[in-house]
Amino acid sequence: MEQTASQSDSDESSANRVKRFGFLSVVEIENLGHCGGLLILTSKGRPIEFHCTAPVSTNRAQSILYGKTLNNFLFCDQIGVALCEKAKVAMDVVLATQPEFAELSSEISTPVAVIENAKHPQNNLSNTLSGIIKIADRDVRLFQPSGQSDAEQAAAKQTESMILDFIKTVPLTEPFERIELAIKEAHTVAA
Amino acid sequence: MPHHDWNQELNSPVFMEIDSQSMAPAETAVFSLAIPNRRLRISSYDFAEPESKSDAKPNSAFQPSKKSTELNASDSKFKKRSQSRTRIAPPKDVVRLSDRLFYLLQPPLEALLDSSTLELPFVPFDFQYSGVGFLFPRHAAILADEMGLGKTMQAITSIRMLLRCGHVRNVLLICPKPLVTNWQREFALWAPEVPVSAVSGKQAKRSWHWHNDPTPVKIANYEMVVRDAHVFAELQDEFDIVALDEAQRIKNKSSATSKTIREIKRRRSWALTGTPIENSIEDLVGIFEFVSPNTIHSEMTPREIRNEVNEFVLRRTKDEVLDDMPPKLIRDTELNLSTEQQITYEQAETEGVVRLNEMGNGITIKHVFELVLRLKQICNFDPATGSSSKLELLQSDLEEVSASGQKAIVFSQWVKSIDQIAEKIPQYNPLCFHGRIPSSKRDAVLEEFKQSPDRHVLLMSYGAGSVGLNLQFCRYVYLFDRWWNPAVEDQAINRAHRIGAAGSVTVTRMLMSGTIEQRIHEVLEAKRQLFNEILSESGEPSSRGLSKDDIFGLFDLAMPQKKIENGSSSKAA
Repeated sequence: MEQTASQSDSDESSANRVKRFGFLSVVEIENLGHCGGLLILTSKGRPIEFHCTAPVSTNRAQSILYGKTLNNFLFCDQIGVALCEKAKVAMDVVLATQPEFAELSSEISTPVAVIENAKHPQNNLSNTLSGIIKIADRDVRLFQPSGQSDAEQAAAKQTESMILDFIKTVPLTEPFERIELAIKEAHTVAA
Repeated sequence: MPHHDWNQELNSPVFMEIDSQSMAPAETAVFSLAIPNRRLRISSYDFAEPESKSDAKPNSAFQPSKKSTELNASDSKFKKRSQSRTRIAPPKDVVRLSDRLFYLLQPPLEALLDSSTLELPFVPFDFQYSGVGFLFPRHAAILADEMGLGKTMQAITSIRMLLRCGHVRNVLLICPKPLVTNWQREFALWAPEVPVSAVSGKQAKRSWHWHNDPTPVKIANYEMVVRDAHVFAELQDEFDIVALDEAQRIKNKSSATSKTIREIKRRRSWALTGTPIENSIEDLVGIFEFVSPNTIHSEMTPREIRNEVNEFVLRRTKDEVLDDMPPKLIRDTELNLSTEQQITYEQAETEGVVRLNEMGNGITIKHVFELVLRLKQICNFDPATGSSSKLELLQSDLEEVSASGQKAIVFSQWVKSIDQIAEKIPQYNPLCFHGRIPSSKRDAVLEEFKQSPDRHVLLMSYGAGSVGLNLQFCRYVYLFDRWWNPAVEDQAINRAHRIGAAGSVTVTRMLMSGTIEQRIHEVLEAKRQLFNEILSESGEPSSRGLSKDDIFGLFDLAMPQKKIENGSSSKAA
């Protein structure tokens, strides 16, 4: 399992410090490949850090060998892990809308929450699911790093509570719009 | 067969032919496919931690009404936030990617201003969010919304956000003198936690304000700034924002006001004005000398100017942004002069024109202007008898206004006319608001007019009452006489017809038929059609006030051959 910032400052009392929410997304840029973005926000939705990758493209061999799991490899193993490693502050939860990120929970120590349309659930999500929060027409599927112990159950409850607090200020899917805007801006400036 | 033969056969060796095949695999040809686990190139951007730990505490105002973890799709707060998201777009002059991303990555303004730390007394309109999103990131900006759309609120909210995020620390707001207390009130309403001080008093006190007052927002009037011009050269620190309300005050770039204000050291230059082009393109050029010097000049074509100012100017009209504004009904009432007025008027006009013609090339705009003023005054009241057709109409209308419990504002160009009106309508308890009312008493006048059910009429001069005041509880506005410039008239009308107006606003513009008023009206109406051209998609910009040609044309006088001598300006308005 990768070492993330949340482990590095695990001594910090998570109950006392400001909660930090990681929003992770991959945007496809025509003819260039995929760019990943990680936006870390406070509980009031204000930005603390933003990390984005240069465009990543897969080769023919990867396409053949990973087959249907190519995006899981690209999103989680390649982009997601690399971005989470760059985070300087500890995140309390990493949220994503792309189902490929469900498997990220086995790569990082931070809980992962995948937001999906309740009408079109992804049935093939990882079996480390530890809870579902229903918010309007969205289901938020929580994936804790491991196990189902009492402590981890309590942690899942805490994550759920944090997310519900967050949406009192900012709509849950709004930060992904910011990531997309920022990636496009970065790409435009770079071009 | 004998027995031994059988045994012999069994014991005889068997002959086997063994064919051995090697099972060792042939050497496999291996092709290696590279699946590189490349190190991704990642760009990182840090933003200052904007919250204290205490911010993590949930605000009780936003506690969900039910304990369930399921929020209903019909939840009003959720729906409200989902409806619009106003983002702070970085302006073109912000070039560093990290700075651009700072703006792009902020929450939508609706979320920022809905939070417990930046609560607003009222929910802003969408266009007001856009206005804040326009001002917040800009170092050079003109907010040119039509009067009544809340420029004050948008400026205050932007200043408040910039103060809260630490981008600015000291702000100087300059406004006309009568509006200082209005700005203080608006700050108390829209940014109650922001300390504000009005620079006032004698020189020593003002000097303390300029040099030592730590208040983050200082409000000063234009005249005081000019008087204290020497101070700005002495100040060590620059202002983070210098914002000008009614910024048309600096349209003349050679004026002392403009020169003084341009000398103030500052990082951000904001101008608020509903009339960035009051008379001609020169007005806009003058304002730009403060906002973004050398961006435009009067030799540029209108198209070039439009292209250049586009990034700096935000202008919205009520028609564009407010579907639910109550209607504004304009009633042009043509009246005939009373017999006494008619006699006086004809005599004055005849004598006046004869005198002007006799002057030949010695004639100046001032001479013509004096005649115009004289005739306009007669249109209000006959100087000998006090007879007035306008007053008769006003008295008749006020009876209805008063009976229905409504309130009216009456505008006039002259204090003398205001006094005459007040004298004739004591039954409506008129209040007066003009240049001769001391500033210290003006707020009390407005408050009494607003609160007292017995006060039905406020008599105002254009100069004192046309800008910045919120009188949206009035349903009736009377223009007893006409100002020289439609923009000023619009400002006067919009004291009542603005956001929060109690209902439709009826504006009665009084006009004496066959007089100088009608001639001026025709000229100005033609110019009114051309308003906003420089800020619109097409059309040629034009003067909106009366030019020297217009003024001479009022009496069919020929323009003098020599250069026009004019004390200050070639424009009458």
